[in-house]
Amino acid sequence: MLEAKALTKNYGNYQALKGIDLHVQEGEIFCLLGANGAGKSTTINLFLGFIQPTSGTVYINGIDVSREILAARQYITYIPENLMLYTYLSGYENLQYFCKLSGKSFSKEQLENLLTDAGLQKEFIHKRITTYSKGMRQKVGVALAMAKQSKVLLLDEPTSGLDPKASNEFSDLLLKMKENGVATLMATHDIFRARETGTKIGIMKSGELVDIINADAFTTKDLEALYLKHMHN
Amino acid sequence: MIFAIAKQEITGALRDRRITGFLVILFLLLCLSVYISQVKYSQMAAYRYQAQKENREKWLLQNAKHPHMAAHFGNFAFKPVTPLNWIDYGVDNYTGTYVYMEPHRQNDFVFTPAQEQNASIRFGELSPSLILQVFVPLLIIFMCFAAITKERENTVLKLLVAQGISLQHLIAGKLLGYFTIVLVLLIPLLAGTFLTGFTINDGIQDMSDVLNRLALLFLFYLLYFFILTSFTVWISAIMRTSRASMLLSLSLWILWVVVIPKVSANLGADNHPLLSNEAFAVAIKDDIKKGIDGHNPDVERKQQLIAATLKQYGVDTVSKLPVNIDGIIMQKAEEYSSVVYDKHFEGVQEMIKKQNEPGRLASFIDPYLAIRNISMSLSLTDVFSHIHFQKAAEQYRRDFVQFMNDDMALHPKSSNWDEYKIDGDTYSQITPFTYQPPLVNISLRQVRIEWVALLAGLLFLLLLIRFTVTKIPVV
Repeated sequence: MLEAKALTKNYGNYQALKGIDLHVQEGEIFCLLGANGAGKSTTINLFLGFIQPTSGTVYINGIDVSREILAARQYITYIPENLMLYTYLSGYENLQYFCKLSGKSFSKEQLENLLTDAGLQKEFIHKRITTYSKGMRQKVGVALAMAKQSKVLLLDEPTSGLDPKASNEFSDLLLKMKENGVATLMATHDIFRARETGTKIGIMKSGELVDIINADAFTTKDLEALYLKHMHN
Repeated sequence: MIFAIAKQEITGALRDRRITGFLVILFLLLCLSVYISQVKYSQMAAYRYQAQKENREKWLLQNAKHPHMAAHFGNFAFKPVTPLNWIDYGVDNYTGTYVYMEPHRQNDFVFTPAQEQNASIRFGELSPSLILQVFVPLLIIFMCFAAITKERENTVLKLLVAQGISLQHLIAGKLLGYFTIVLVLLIPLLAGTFLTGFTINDGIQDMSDVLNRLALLFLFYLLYFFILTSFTVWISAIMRTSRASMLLSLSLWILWVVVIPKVSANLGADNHPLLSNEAFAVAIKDDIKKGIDGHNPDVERKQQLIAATLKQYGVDTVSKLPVNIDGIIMQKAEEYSSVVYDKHFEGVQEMIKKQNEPGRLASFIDPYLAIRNISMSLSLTDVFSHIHFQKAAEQYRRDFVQFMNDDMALHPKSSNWDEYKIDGDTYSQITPFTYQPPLVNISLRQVRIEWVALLAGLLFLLLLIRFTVTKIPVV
């Protein structure tokens, strides 16, 4: 569903990505772990087509992103670290608007159900986004992914800054979407969350994917040790 | 999709108290300016109608006089108020509203509203055009400067683009939304025109011409707003931060509304200075002295004219002439002075034209200058419209004086040159001055540089957006 082949990205003389290869299948959550500047967000941005690769190719559902970006984006829902929606609209209105832009139309009831399914409390559905916490805004993003029936979720540190409860709720939503066959690529700093929700974990360092492991083969403690080992090398 | 984006932008603007506040203030200001302008021009129209009526009565009821004395009693031409004058005052405040017409000389227009008011008039009156040309752009900047930058700054742009929206559609939707909001501001103008504007008409301007002018006026204002909206949104798309976008947009506004008009006006005035009033009068007087003057004709020319007239009638002395030689001399003097006046006034007009040229050409880089000139021209308050009226009034003066001179020439003089008198019957043969303003196609021709500049600006902006949109950074 998601594939990167020999992907490199240079900013002048600086090599942000040094030929990474990765593959995320349907129903898989691939977590990119790494320090700041490791190239996690660059990888996500390349899948989104926000930036062009220096070399290499990215595919979404077999579509070359650099050639047919609009077609590829039909399959994607993207949730950034801090999902800032339109503050003068309610969660409901935001969802309705973004669904419209994706060419999807829903009844009022359907939209409300999507939001509650994503874990948003009913009393907040028609309140303006300014009254929402970060976790609540992320839930609107998940509701959008469910509404779009996206096959691909691209998440850039979505749980960063969330309290443990909100972070846990968000992970549950990801697992629910995983069961529905959604392929997820998530950049994160959170070793615990990566271990809990990830199917595969890729460790990134200085633009390279230095290791790819199966999440269930490691305990959180072992994963932390492996991560630190890579960071110190 | 474009409509959904436009609708969302309208919702956003209407829910933003700062924008709605600004919008409401401008809307009320515009309503107020429409009201004030209509009252002002209605009063002017009423005043001119009354003055014209009184002067006509005085003319008809004056005592029996010699035709030349009656000519010196004089006549007046009042500049009529036309239905769209109130939208844009143009040069009306500075050009004078009526002229006293008499033999031998073209008098200046008198009673300029600027002379009657305090210095605040130099900063512009609250005319609808001032608000549309100067303040609405500020609203557009305020509304659009962060159109794209804000969404980039708070990552909504990434979310939008990730939905599969092209940046072209996003910009088109935003433009449509903002433009719709700006359209609201034209409502008071339309309402004002259709409710009472058309009644302010003491001229005889053809109503179909007025409607054509009104339609074009709206079209050009829409074009002006669209250019400003597109440009501000484009600036927002290419700048990295909202702060930088606002700074650049406001700097351009100052450049367009203050700096370029001032520089181009100074450039025109410095390179093509006009003669002072005194020097202008002396130059005309000198030229006239060289030829035949009504009261002090050049001796040689006068003798030639007398000799030719004697020969024409086959007599040897002036007293045997069947016509009044003074009438003939005066008419010839009038014709000569007309040639002299035409020569000097054409020189002045040419100079004014050259003075205005830098400003007109600057329309290609300054949409404010373009719309300012177009608006004045379509409202019939520009320099050209004034000159058009001035020429019509002068033609009337010449016809009027010629009528009197011809009448005088047909009645041979006896011992007293003013023994022959005319009365009300003759006075009534002088029809009152009427004026037909130039038609809209003539006005449009006068501002062809400006509307070509606006259309070129629109085309340039659309191409600019088309070719730079793909390079707009999302992150």
